[in-house]
Amino acid sequence: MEKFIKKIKKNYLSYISLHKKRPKSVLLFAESINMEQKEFYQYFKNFETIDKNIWLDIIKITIEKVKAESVYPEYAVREKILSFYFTLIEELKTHRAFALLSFSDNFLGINLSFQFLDDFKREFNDYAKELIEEGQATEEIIDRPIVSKVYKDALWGQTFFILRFWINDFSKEFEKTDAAIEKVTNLSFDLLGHNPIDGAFDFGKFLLQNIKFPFLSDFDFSMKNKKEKGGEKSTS
Amino acid sequence: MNQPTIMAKKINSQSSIPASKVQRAAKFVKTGVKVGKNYVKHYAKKVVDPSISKENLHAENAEDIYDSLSELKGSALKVAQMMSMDKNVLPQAYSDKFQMAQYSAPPLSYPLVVKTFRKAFGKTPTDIFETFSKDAVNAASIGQVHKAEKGGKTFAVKVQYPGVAESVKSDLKMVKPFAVRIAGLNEKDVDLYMEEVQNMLLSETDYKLELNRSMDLSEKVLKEVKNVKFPNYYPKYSSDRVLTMDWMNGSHLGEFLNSNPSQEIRNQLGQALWDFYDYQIHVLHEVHADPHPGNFFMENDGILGIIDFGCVKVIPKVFYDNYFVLIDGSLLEEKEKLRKALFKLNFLHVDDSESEMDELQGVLLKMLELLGRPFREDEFDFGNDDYFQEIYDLGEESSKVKALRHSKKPRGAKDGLYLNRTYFGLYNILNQLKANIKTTSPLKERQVLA
Repeated sequence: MEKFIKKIKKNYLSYISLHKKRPKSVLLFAESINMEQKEFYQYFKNFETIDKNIWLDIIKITIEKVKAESVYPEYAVREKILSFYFTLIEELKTHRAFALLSFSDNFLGINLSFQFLDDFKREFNDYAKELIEEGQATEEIIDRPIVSKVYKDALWGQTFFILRFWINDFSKEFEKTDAAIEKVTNLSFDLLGHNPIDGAFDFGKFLLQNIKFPFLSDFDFSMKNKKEKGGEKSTS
Repeated sequence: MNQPTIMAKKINSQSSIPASKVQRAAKFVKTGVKVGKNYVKHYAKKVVDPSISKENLHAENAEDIYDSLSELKGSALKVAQMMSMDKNVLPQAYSDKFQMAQYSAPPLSYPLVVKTFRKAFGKTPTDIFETFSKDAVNAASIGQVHKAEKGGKTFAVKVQYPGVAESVKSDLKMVKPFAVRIAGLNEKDVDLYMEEVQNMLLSETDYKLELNRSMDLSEKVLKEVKNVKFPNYYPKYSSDRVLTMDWMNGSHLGEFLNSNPSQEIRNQLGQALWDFYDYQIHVLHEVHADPHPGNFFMENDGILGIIDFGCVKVIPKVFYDNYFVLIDGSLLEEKEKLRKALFKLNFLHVDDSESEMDELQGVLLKMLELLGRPFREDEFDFGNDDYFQEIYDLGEESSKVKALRHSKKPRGAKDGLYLNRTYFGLYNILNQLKANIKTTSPLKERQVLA
C-alpha cells in the first residue's frame, strides 16, 4: 500500500514539474501510471488530498533532517527554528513547481483558505509547541499572561510569511528568502524574549497600582457606586 | 575597545590626498580637524563629568562629517557609503547618520552559515574543520569572520551575508537622488561616479575573484617587496560566498602603537607599507584599494601582514600617465602643461571661464606642491605633524574658494576615486606610525635616466 502511495505522489509531482499544471483528470492520470482509477481512489479522494499529503511529507522530512543534525541539540530555540526554515526552503526547492502551483491556485481566488497546508500546519504547530516549551524552560521565550497562548499562531504566521516570500522570490538561489528568514526570526525572537515592552508593561502596572490619578479614582468610585446601587436593588 | 581611535584614523585617513580631486580632500581635511576638535571637547568634558558617553561624541562627529559630506560632490556619497559600510570601524552613531547609504546587516546566524557551507561544499563547517567558532569573531564589511582549526593550523573563514550583491545595487539607486540633491550635480555626472563605485562594490562581493586576486597579487608582491607577508589562501575551502585563509597573528595599528615600538621598527613597517603600494601602483597597475588599519597586522619584529584584496583598483594606463605627471615638480612651473593635464583628468572643463580656471588651478597648484612633496624628496618624515597641519590649513583655505564651492560640475576622473582613497589611507597610517620613509617614485627614475 505504501508503495502505491509513493508511486502516485512521485508521478504526480513529476507530471506537475513537467507540465506546470495538474493532470486533466484522475482517470487520465491513473491510466498514465498503469493504475486502475478505482485503485487510485483507494488511496486518495482527489488531487487536493495528494497536495495536502505532499506538503505534510515536506514538513515531516524537514523536521526529521533538522533534528538529525549533530549540532541541533546545542542550538538555542532561535537557531533551531532558523535551521528549520533553511532546511524547509531547501526541501521546497526540489518541488518548486508544485509549490508555485499550490499557491497560484489560491492566489487566483479559487480557494483562499490555503487548505493544502492544513496537515502541514498541524505538524508545524506540534513542532512549534515543542520549541516554545523548550524556550520557556530556558527563558529564551518569556511566558506572559494571555499573550503566551498566541505564540504558536504568531510562529505560524511567520512561517506562512516565509513561504509566500519564497514563492515570490526570484533572486539568485533565493538569497532574499535567506535574508528574510534571518530578519523575521530575529525580530520575532526579540519580541518573544525579554524586551522593552515588558518593562513598559511592568511600569504601567506599577503606576496604576501606586499612583492615584484623579480621573481614575473617580472612575473607581463610580464603579463602586453602581455596584452598591445594584446590590441595594437586589436586596430590596 | 579602541574603536574610537581606529575610527579617528579612519576619518583622518581621508585627509591626506595627493593631486587631482583636491577640493574633496580639502573638505575631508576640514572635517578631520573638526572631528579632532570634538575629541578634545569630549575629553575636556569628560574630566568634569566622567559619565558622558562616547555616543555623544560620535553623534557630534557624525553631524560634522555629514555636514561636510553634504557640501561635497559625487564621490563624497561613495565615501559616505563606504564609511557606513565599514561597520567594524564606525561606531553606531556614524552608521545611523549614514543609514540612507547603508547596507546594514546583523550577524549571520550559525544555521545560515551551515547552510552556506552546505551549498558550497556539501558539508557543514564542523565536517570540514575540527573546530569552528559558532559566533563570528569579527565583522567584515559584507560578511563575517569565523575562526576554525584543523590539523594544528588556524584559519580565518570569511562568510558573506546573503543578498549583498543585490542590495549594493538597490542601495546605490536609493542614494542617487539624494546625491543629486545634496551635491547639486546633475544625474549624468553622478552616474559617472556611481558606476565606478558600483563596480568596485560588486567586485568585492565576489569571493572567488578575491581569492584569485589575493593569491596572484600576494605572490607577485612577495617576490619584490621586503618585510611583508600574506596568509595562504585555500581554494578548496572557498566559494563565491566563503573565503578561507590562514589566521593572522600580530596586532592592528592602534594596539601595536600602544606597545611602544622602536623608531627602527616603525620605519621598517612604514617602509614595507610604502613599498607595497609603490610596487602595486607603479609596476602592477593594480592596487589593494582598501588601506584601513583593520587590514594590516603588525608584528613586533617589523613584519607587515596584509589581508583583504576584495577591493582592487585596476589603474588604466591613460589615467595613470595623467595622474602621476602631476607629482612631477617641474610641471608646477609650467602653467600650460599643467592645465592640459587637468583637462585630461576631468578637473577642468572646456566651458569653465578663464577666471574659474585660474582660481582652480591656483588652489590645485598649492595642493600638488604640498601633497606631492614626499615624492620629490629622497626621504620623508611622515611623523612630521607640521606637514599634516599645513595640509589641514590648506584644506580649510581652499574650502572657501568660490569656484570649488559653487561648481555644478564634477571635478576629477572617476578612476581617481579609489586611488585617492588609497593615498588617504597610506599617508595616514604612515603618520600614525611616525615613520621615516625612503620615498620612491617613477619620476625619480625617469629623471635619473634623463
